[in-house]
Amino acid sequence: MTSQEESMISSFSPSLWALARKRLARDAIGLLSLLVVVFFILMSLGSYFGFLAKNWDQEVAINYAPPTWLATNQESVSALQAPIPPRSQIDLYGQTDPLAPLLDELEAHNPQDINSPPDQQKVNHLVFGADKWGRSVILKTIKGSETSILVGLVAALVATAIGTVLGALSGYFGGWVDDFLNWFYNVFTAIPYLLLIFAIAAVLNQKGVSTIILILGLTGWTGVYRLIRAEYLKHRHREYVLAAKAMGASHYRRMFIHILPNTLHVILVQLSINVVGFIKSEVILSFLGFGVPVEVVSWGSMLNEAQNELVLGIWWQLVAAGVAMALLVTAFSVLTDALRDALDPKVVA
Amino acid sequence: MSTSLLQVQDLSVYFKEAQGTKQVLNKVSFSVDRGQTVALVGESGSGKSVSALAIMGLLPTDLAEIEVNSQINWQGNNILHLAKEQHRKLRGRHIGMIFQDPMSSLNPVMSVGEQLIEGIQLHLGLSARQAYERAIALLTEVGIPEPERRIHAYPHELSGGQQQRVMIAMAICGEPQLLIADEPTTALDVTIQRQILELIKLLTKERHMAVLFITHDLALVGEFADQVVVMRQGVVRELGDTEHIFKEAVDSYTKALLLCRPSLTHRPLHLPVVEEMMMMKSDRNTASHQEERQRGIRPTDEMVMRVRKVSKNFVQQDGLFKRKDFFAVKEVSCDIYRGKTLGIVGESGSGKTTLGLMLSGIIPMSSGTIEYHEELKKLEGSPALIQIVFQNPYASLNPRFTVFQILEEPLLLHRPDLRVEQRAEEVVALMHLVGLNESMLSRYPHEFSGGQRQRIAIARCIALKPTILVCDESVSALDVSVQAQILNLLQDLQDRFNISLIFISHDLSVVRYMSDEIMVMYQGTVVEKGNSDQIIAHPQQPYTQNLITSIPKGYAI
Repeated sequence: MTSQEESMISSFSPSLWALARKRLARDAIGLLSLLVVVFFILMSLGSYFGFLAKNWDQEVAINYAPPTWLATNQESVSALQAPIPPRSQIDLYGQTDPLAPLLDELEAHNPQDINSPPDQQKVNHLVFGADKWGRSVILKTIKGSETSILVGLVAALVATAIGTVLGALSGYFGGWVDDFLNWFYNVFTAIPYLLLIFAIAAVLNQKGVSTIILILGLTGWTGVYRLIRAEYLKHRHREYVLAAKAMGASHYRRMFIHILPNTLHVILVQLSINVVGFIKSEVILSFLGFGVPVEVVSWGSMLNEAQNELVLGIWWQLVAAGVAMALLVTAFSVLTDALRDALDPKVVA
Repeated sequence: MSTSLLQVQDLSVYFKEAQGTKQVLNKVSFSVDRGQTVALVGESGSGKSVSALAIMGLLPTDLAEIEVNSQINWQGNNILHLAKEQHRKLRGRHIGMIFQDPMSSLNPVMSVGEQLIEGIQLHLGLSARQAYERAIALLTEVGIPEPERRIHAYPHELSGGQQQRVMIAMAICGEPQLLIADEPTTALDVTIQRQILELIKLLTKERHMAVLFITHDLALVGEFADQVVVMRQGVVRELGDTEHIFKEAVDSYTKALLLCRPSLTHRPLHLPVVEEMMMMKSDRNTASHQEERQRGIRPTDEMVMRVRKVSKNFVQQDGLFKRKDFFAVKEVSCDIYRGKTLGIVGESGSGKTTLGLMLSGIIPMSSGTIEYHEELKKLEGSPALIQIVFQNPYASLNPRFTVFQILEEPLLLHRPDLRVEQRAEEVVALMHLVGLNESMLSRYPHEFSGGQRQRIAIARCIALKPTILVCDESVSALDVSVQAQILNLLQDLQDRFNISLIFISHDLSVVRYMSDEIMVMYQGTVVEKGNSDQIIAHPQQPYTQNLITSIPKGYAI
């Protein structure tokens, strides 16, 4: 066989994904959204591995430093530059602080907690302002993306995978498998959502990102299950599936090689809806105290802080987290939409 | 008569596409006189339905563009320039229309009476009481039994034929002078088709109504059309009296259309194909020059499959505790011989498809036995023994697989000994075998025409060189000329690989052409079985006789 023939034969079978890649490359909006999503993922990875926003928790500015590029508000700067008397032991009328030795010990162990830069060295404004402790909002948003994207993506993948597999089993086999899974689904959805989340949180009994992922992943599969089951019910008697059966294809092959690509449009849309929903759910969970621990920052915890600040007219933390979230969520929806079109050979790109 | 009822002149229509426009009608001209039946015949893509929609003013304005010089004259007035509102008044009141699929043309949540009365009130402005009486009269006229009861029925409670009758009643309720019938019988069984045609014929006579009958089946119109217009690819190929078209057609395409349909009297070795006939441009009738194929089972033939008393029953809930059995197939026995064809004929609901699925092992039998020839016993349960080609080539190919993946699948599953390159070679060979080019392998099924898709489906089935091939209505969804090609292909494959065919169809003439033996089924049971020529020439059972007389015979000489 000549090399030309070989290349011809290898080009016979451009898989669905190869075709999708080609089509996506032609879709300008889809490509843009892909870039945005990749940018966010790289950003969160960067912060996870310490390339970005490593020093996000340094209190570099005065508290609630306003966002500006211009050095305004000279008076307040000079007022702030006035010498502040050094911290000294308050005279407690002869009483000694019972905690003093403990405090001294702690201070000796963690000098950075005490020796935070004096306010004279703190800047009085930042590019996008500072939070209550004078931390840069931009760095905080970057650090927060780590948690939010991880939670949103992984939990959505878990939920969609569970929903797809159960839905496929239920719709494809029917009969008692379907009855049993339907019963399970009904029981599951009959429990109020928040109650269910609390129950799972109570069972897991630890705070952290992985807990949130588990909670959301284990509770969020129901919508996907319902839709995928319906798709499989529709497809299992289609002639192409019967033809595969006549060809001797196994159940597994028929379910996941033949039918699954034909339900991709549903799965992708559900995935995108779930990512969006779970990023928001993380906010709710954090607000309810089941979210990430205090020392971890996420867009959810930022929004949670922002509601108190907003009353004081301090809007930058809300805007930063909100814009980041809106950008990612929109880009992700557009991307899955573009993917859905790219994966459907019938749609003329 | 000075002016015709409807005169279409130089009608050209363009469809807007992604790149530029595509001409779908090119200067189409024909006319319909009062009380006349004109048949518009052509294959899919010929522009016959577009013509009808243009007359009705139902072409989507954002997609279709009608050339300025085109004329559609209704009693001398060009209706292409009518305002939408005026056009709407013309529809229904003066021009009625019936569509192909009665099930989807009727609103499933309204009773047929409500739908009928709505039309009557709209067109004739009658009171509710009068409209109700009128609806009863119309239903009686179109031959619905017990119209007083049926008027309250919902569409799904009526049979396909009755639904089409209701559609006809709705179309004629405004007492139109022209009835446009777009493939009104294609979705129906042969015997029902005959009844509907008789009804339309009767109505035209009684009401002195003109009919524009659109169909892909030339043989169908021979018996009752006055004029025939043959269309192909947006162009009128031939136009003339029915007698002229059937007896002395000039156009090669018309001739090919007449000949490529298998007849009950001839069985040429190969069916004539439109492309070949148009290439030859000769006047001689090629079919009559061909050798006749001899059919029939000889005593020397080897039996490969013995089917005995095979049944399929479904349990139905009857009341709270009672259950009753519904037999889709009841105690069917037949024998399949090597290299021979068993034809199974029946109308919808006769159980022929269920039988085919059981024989090919896709659904389990409720009872009965299937025995195979000694040599084939080791293959039992393997796909290399029996394969099935389905009816709808649009549904039987996975839309997300390329042709290569589709054809590779059986090899991937059952020939693990093959290396990747060998599989690819094998796939290319399969493509050549069914007359397709290997450059098409990277395409997806939707990029192919119906005939090509059916070729792909056949190629997939013969990949494992099965002993028996079940063809379940495999050519029913195709145009007549494509049907001839696929039948030729199946015949070639049978001759080459000595495959036994089980050929299931509702079309008796096709079955007769393909089969050595015919089995007629009705409501799950075998009515008659025997040598195919014998059955057609001397049917013993009244049901078989009825089926045979219902076949469109072309022009009655």
